[in-house]
This record gives sequence, C-alpha cells and structure tokens, in this order.
Amino acid sequence: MPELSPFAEDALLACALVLPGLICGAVVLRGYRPWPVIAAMLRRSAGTALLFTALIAVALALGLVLTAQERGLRQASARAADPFDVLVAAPGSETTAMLASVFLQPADLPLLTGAQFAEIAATPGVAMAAPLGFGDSADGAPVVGTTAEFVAHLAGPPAEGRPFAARAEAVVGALAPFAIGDEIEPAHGTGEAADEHAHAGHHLHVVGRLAPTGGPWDRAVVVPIETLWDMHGLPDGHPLAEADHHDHDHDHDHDHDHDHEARPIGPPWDTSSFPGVPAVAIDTDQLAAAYGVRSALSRPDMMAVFPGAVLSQLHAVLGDARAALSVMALASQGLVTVAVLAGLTLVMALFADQFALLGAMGAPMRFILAVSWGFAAILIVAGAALGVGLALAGMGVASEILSRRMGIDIRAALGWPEVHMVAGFASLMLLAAMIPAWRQMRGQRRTGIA
Amino acid sequence: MPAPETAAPDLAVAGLRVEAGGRTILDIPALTVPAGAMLVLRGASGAGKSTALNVLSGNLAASAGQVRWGGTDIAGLSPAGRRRFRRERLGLIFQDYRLFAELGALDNAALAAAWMPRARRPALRAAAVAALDRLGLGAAADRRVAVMSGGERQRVAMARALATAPSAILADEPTASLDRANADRLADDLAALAGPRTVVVVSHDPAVQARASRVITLADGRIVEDSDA
Repeated sequence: MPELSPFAEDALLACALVLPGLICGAVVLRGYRPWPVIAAMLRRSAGTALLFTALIAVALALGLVLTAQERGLRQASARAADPFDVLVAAPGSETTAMLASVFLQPADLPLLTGAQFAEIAATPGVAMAAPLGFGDSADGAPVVGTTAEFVAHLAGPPAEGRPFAARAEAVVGALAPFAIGDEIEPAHGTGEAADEHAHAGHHLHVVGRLAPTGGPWDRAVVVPIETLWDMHGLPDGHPLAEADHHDHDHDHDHDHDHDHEARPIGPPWDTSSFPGVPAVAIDTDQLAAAYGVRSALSRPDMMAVFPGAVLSQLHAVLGDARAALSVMALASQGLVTVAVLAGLTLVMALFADQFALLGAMGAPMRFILAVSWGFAAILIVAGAALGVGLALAGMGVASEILSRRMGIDIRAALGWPEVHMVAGFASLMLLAAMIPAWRQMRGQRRTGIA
Repeated sequence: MPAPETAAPDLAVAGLRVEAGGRTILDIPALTVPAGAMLVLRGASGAGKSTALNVLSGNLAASAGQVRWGGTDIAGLSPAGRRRFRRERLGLIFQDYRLFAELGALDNAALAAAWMPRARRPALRAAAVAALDRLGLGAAADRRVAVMSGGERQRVAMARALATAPSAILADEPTASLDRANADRLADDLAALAGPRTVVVVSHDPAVQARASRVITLADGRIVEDSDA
C-alpha cells in the first residue's frame, strides 16, 4: 500500500472528521428544501440566532487561538535558537545557559576562562567560536558583547550602516529603540535593578542596524566583547602595549572612549588577559561535526549543549501545560455545545405555531426534523466560519502582544490541527443538533388545525 | 385556479366519536356530504366544531368510527398515513392565517414545495402563482406578508390551500378576522371553490352560511340542526 504524504493524511483526517456531520445533513435534508422556512425562522429570531452564532464563534476561536499560538511560540523559539549550533558554558543549568544566550534573559552564569576558550576554539569541527557577554542594558534593551563575525552569522550584513569596527561602536537589532548615529550610555544590569551611572563615561555610537532575525537579539545593542570587558574594568583579552600602560598609569581623567578607541577587537585573544565569558556560541562546519564538538566539550569543567535540544526538552516539560490548555479549550467548546443545544431547544419552542402549521398541512415528520436541524446547522456553520475569522484576527493580536512581551517574532497561523479542530467541532455539533431537532419532531405528533 | 388533482371526494362519516378525559366531545352517528358540496359547521363555543374539523382533516385521531373521504377511511390510517392524506388531498385554511410573516406572499403560497418531491416543485409554484392571481394578489407575490392587510393575508392563506390542488378544502372561521367587505369577498371565493372540490367550513358568518349548500349546527358535540334534514 503506497504511503500517504503528510498533506494527504491531514486532508483525509479533516474529511473523516467532517464527514459524520455532512452525512447527518445529507440524510436529514435529502429531498427537501427547508430553507425558506428556516430563513423565516432566522429572521424572526435574529437576535437570539446572532447570540448563539457568536457563542459558538467565540468558543471555537478561543480554542483555535490557543493551539495555534502555542505552536507559533514553539516554532518562533526554535527559529531563534537555530543560529546557535552548539553553546558552551561553565557547568550548571543547560536551560539557564540557553535562555541567557539565545533569549538574552538575565542570568548569573559562571565564567569560562581564557584557557577554556582557547581549547573550545581549537576543537576540531569548530568553524567559529564566539564569546558572548551579557548583563548590561540600555533603555531596557540588552547590551550584548560578541564578535563581528558572530553578528554576521546571526543576522547577515547590517540592513543599514555597517558592522562595528571599534570599541565604542555598536550595532542595534532590527527592533531596538535606537537609530544610527545615536549615542548610548549603557547601564549596569537589567530591568529595575539596572545602575544607570555605573558605566558613566562609556559611550556607544550606533553605526549599524541589523536585519530582523525573529529572535530576542532583534531588540539588543550588540558591541564588541572587549567593550563589555572595558566597561567593567577588566582586561580586554589583548596584550597591552607600552603606550597603553603609560595612558592607564598617568592619565586617569582621560575619556574612556578615547583611551580604548584604538585597541583591537575580535580574535585572537591572549589567554592570560582573557577575563572570562559566560557562554561561547559555536558554529560548526557541518551537522555531524556539531555532535563531535558537543561530545568533545562536554567535560567536568564545561558543558556543551544543543540549544535546540534544550528547547525541545523545555517544550516537552511544558507539554503538560499544553495538554491542559487543549483540555480547557475542548471543555469550553463542550460547554458551549451543551449551552447552545439547550438554548436551541428553548428557541424551537418559540416556533411552536410554525411547526404546528407544518404538521397540520401534512408536512412529513422528517421535514420537521430537517427544518429544526437545518436551523441549528446554519447557526453552527455560521458560528464556525465566524470563529475562524475571529481566530485569525485574534492570532494577529495575540502574536503581536506575545512577540512584544517575549522578544521573539511569533507568527501564529491556522494549520492542520486547527482545521481538524474546526472540522471535528462543527461535525460534533451538527450531530448533537439532532437531539433538539429530534425532540421537536417527536413533539409534532399532536397538532391541530384550530 | 388550480384544478384538483383528483375528483372531489364525497365525505361519509359513520359512528364517529371523540372522547377526551372520559367525556365524549364529539358524537356524529352518520353524516354524508356529496362530492363538490359546501358544508358549513356552526355552533356555540365548545360545541365541537373545531374537534370535528380536526378529525375530518386527520389532525386528530377519532376514538371510534369512520371518516371516509371517497374510498379512504382516514380514521383507520396511521398518523403518518393521515399526514400523507392531508398533504396530498386536503387544503387547510386557518382563522389566524398561520403564515410566515417574514416571507413573501408567493413563498407562503408555495410553502408545500418545501417538502414536495423536486419534480413537483415547479408545478406547485406555478399553481401558487395562479392562485394568487385568481385571488387578486398577482402583483403582490413578492410582498412580505408582514406588511399585508388581514384580507390580503387570508387570501394568501387560501392560495396556499389551493396550490397543492387539493380535492377538498377545510377552513376554520376564515372570515373571523376580517372586516365585512373582505369577509364577503372571501365568502365568494370560498363558494367558488366548491363544485370541483368538497368544502367544509366552520363559520358563524351569515355571509358564508348563505353561500353554503348545507349548514349543520353542533351543540355538545352532537348535530342538533341540519339544513338538509
């Protein structure tokens, strides 16, 4: 038997889910044309019909937005972790190292030494080893220190301006609240605990804006790693020349920017004057090499992780929450189904005279069933369609809010799981609508002309 | 006016009794109405007129007896059988019109097309158009019933009863909600229906009674006066 493509499998499942509802409709409506009667009923109960439609739409939209948003979040975080083949940090929490490096979440990580960095960079298969330094901020945006090479690996050439080429220069992420030419005075630390004046005298000149990456780095201010070391009064990984010694010894009041402007940036670094970094991002030649690098650098004095794998573990742990969300969405849909069916039973009672007329005229019992069911079916189908529309709008709004709050570009969209949810929900409701319709039909046994 | 699909049946009632709550509410030992006649049932409130009409139309099951329309004893039919008989052979007119106010005159008159087999729908709709035309509502076919006068509504209801080309018409106080002029016009229309059809009308309206071929008075579920007797 030929294997089905994923598309064919999803399409078949959608068809299988919707089929019971369609078959029910085909059997009930076969041979009849109840629409004029249903149209009259809808016009008479327009307010109630709209209310039921809205109820169905909102319940469905909530479920769709929840599931699509959760998937969008997972995909967005995976995209954000994609440029980080292997991440090396001092032994500790893999999750904390990943969150700090990929998502720029504040964390206090132990440092890797210069000797360790040199070993990492020299490991076979490592095409690029970039130190990552963080912990400072500017106007709420994280200030990250690394190399120009890693910035190019992460975001490509700047969308505007040029890469940083000196200590006092910075490039900003696509969404960072700075423009080329801005002067930035970074604060020590992040958030409310940030000390605005700890780095007084250190000014960063914005020379470039990066292309969007969809990750938290889009809101960052990226500087040479040496700049961070300078700001914290640490050695800068490059041997000091005699002139530099002289400046430092005898000219303390001199402007920091001017002092360090001419100092080199980027590799190679001198092991003895390398002050340490919390994490090192590694780009490998090929996928197979990444496994070798991780294996080689997973040692007692350091840990190497695949950020994508750590993220997957995190998602797996959060799977329970996802399941809870799904159950809640299903429960809300179930409750709405029950409420709508109970409501429809009451609405049908409003049309007792119309149903009595149909019975008195000799309309077949199944026609009464067709009218009752068709009335409910129109509300269900309209509610489902409206629900999809609401969900699309809701996803846009929710993605925008979540993207802003989480710093990653979340793009939620309707996918097959949502199509299956709509198909299953509508089908189930169409089947359940048989209950009030059947009750209405049975109630038609006693009718009269007067 | 659409002609009946089958010849007008004569109506023969024998030993008809309807009981409710241990009480006999209708008791007609024998009644025969010739095909094409117009019979009026009258009587005080609670006399059994509406019960009689419901039993004659098959909307209410008789406790005993026969209600024979032509060769068919509908009292012996199942509920589904009586439904089928009603939709195929009878046209019903109600005191309070019982129209779908949200629909147009033609959609109301052609209501039965909704459950008719697809092949019969065009003919039924054409018959509804002809009936509306005959009753002076040809130009108002698309007007919503909600904006029509009482007289117009009752004529739409009459067109609906005629659209299925029934061989008998049963009407319950069809002029009760109308002013004199409209009531007289409807009485004329009802009388015109007789001949090709058997017509049974419950009415207190002298104008309707004056046009009937026979008037029966009911009291306590029994015939107490018969203009034919």
